[in-house]
Amino acid sequence: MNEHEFDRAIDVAAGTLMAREPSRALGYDVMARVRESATPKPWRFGWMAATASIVLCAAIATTVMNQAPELAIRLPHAATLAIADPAVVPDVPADLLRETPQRRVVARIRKEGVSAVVLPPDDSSTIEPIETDPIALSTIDVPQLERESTSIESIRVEPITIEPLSASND
Amino acid sequence: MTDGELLEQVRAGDHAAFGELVERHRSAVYRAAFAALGNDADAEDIAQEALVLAYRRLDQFRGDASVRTWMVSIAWRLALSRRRRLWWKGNRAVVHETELQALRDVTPSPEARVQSAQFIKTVQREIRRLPPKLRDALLLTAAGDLTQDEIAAALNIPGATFRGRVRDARLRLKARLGEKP
Repeated sequence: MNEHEFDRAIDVAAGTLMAREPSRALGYDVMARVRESATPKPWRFGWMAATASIVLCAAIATTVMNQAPELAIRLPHAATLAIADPAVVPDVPADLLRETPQRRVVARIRKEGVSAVVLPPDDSSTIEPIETDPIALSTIDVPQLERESTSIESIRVEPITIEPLSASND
Repeated sequence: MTDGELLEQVRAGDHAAFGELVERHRSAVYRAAFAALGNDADAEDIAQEALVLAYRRLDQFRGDASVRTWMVSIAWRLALSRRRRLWWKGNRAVVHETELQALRDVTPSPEARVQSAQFIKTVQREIRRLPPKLRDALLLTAAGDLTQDEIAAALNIPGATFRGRVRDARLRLKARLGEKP
């Protein structure tokens, strides 16, 4: 087999391999997808709107969270106060009373005292003046105590005798 | 009506004009995919993807090459990507088996009947065993849809490089076939 015959055989073999046609469905499928992609889809806008809403909500939530007070003030338990009782300011932990509205209210109540409490009209009554006797001052006799002088006698100290150590051990 | 005129109609919103373009070039696109993949199912799938992608990217067509070359280049890139994925998945043996089945199903052309059927099958088997780049060049040329320069443009390589690959493919085949009894 010469060079030309080899070339001929290669052309025939390769040409036979590539002698193919696509199915008719290829064109139909392509055009179906082209028409599908050309028509606008309402659900695409729906998804876009939903996504935008989620992002907006997240942004609002983030903003609100950032504006919340840094310190959560825990108020004491509710105290039942009598209406006519003088105002009693419940103790609030000092560390919670910084520059907060609660501190200003407590300070105002402490300053004004009972006047801050409005009493009901039934509890008010007039007080008649009280008569008092004048106080008479009288002199008080104080008995004079006698002074006694005491003298301490001189103390006489006897001389100390020291015994030898060996004699004392016996 | 030329391809350029059809393109203008498509850009103006006439989808039927694109159908005419598909009808003109679908065979070339399909055969390019088949040259790379070697089986009908993958080739048809890639051809469909390529034609739809061409429609979506009509604005990117600058007119430097023909519409057919442009569509084939899209199909070629998609086909190479599919081929790499098949290779990495270990389906290479499956592809080869499919190719063998395709070889058995091929109806010889009148020219092929001149040659011995057995020898033609031997040549086809040797073509399949060529390195991919050489086999691609040989098969794309044999498809006859594009000139060698157009194929080179579709493959994004210089024309001389493509012609060199075709020449190398033939030399290797001749060397192997000459060794056979």
